[in-house]
Amino acid sequence: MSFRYVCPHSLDEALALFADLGDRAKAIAGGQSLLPLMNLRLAAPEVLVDIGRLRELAFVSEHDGGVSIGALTRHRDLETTTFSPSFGVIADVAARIGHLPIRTLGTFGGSVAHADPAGDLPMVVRALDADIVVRSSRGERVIPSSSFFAMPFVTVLDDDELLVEARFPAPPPGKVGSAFSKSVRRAGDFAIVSVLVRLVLDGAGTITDARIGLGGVGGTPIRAQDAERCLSGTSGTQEALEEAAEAAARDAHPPSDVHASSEFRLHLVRTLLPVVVRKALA
Amino acid sequence: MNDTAQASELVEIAFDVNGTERRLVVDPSRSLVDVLRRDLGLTGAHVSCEIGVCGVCTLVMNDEPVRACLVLAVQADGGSVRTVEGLAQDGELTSLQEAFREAHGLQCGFCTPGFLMLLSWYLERLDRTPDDDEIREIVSSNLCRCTGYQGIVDAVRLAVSTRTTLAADGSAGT
Repeated sequence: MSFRYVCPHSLDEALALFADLGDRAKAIAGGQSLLPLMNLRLAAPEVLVDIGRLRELAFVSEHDGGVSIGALTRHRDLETTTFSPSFGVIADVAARIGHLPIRTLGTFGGSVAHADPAGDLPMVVRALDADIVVRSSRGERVIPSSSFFAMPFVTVLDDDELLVEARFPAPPPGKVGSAFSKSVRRAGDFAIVSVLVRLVLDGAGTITDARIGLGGVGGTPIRAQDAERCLSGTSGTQEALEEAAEAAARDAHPPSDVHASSEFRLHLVRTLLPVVVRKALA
Repeated sequence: MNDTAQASELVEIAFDVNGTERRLVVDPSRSLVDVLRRDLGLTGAHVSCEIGVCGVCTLVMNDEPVRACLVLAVQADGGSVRTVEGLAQDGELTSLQEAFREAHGLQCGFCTPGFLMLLSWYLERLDRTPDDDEIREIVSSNLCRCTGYQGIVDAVRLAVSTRTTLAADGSAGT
């Protein structure tokens, strides 16, 4: 089964192609999610628009306390970037995506747009409240991550739109601690459950801001906001951790599938959250 | 611009393969591993899962390890590809290949080219002696159904120690 292959030389050229072809075309960059889908005959686009050479979309730029990540940034580049403490967890997450040869080619934008419910980067984007910047020949849209993911593998992107960047806001002032844990059966697997925690602490060691992301426990990535509220204003006591773990389990709606039952996923959430919070506090 | 999508519109590509420029005309739907094997006769890279989970197709493209079943041949245009056929020079095995032989890092050999390419790349860049965890982390990238990985881990350790010895002698080589 073949397709037409086009390799635009500029973003504008790419956007014009998407405007013209709509849902007949699919963007390919790293291809580490799209090509398996095509090889499994789960996707069969008429036209592939290769955006992999649009280097201007590959960047990691910290400024004003926040960070912008371009869609063409490879996971391997994220893994090897030295972030400020506010965003170091992004490198930790990237380092555990699949295996090294996948990280060589897979891109940030591809991962987020692919919206795999077990995907790590969609969860990061949601947990850290990034804004998703999207372009088309009609102009630019900025979509909050809280409304970007619609259902498993579906985002709110229109057929002529391309994800170009994610902008992560600066955390509130204070000392930042973060940690990430991904529960897998074998190295390189997708997460059965993943947990991301980023905390901001004041001088007295009180948590003033908490971000908790849960992956693999819903059709879309989850920001466990009730659990976050359990931690805020505390110093991460055992009691606060237990309350947060229960709240996170309530926020999770994990599926049962061949990899794990719903009950086991909830068990992992309850067990992992305190562990990850303690690591973030350390 | 013609907005009718035409299937099978062939694409001209040119890329360096093991130091030699090759020019081809290919159907864009063909993977890099398929083109290397069928069009260039380089059957060292193997094909198994075709969805990027097993690693038998691993080779080096543009100086980085990739799964060649998840690269369209057209995406290699203008770049460079190194395959297992390009490791041994004039019939002389690299120290990694020797280490695999000596440490029984292979049995059926089906996964071996993928491991050799991944590990050649890794060892080229290594600037210290890796611990066991690090070696197991890197080899977990590829599936081996025969060896149970111990022989592969031993081969890596042997290759690292051989390289260190060679370096002390003043000679080069991976």
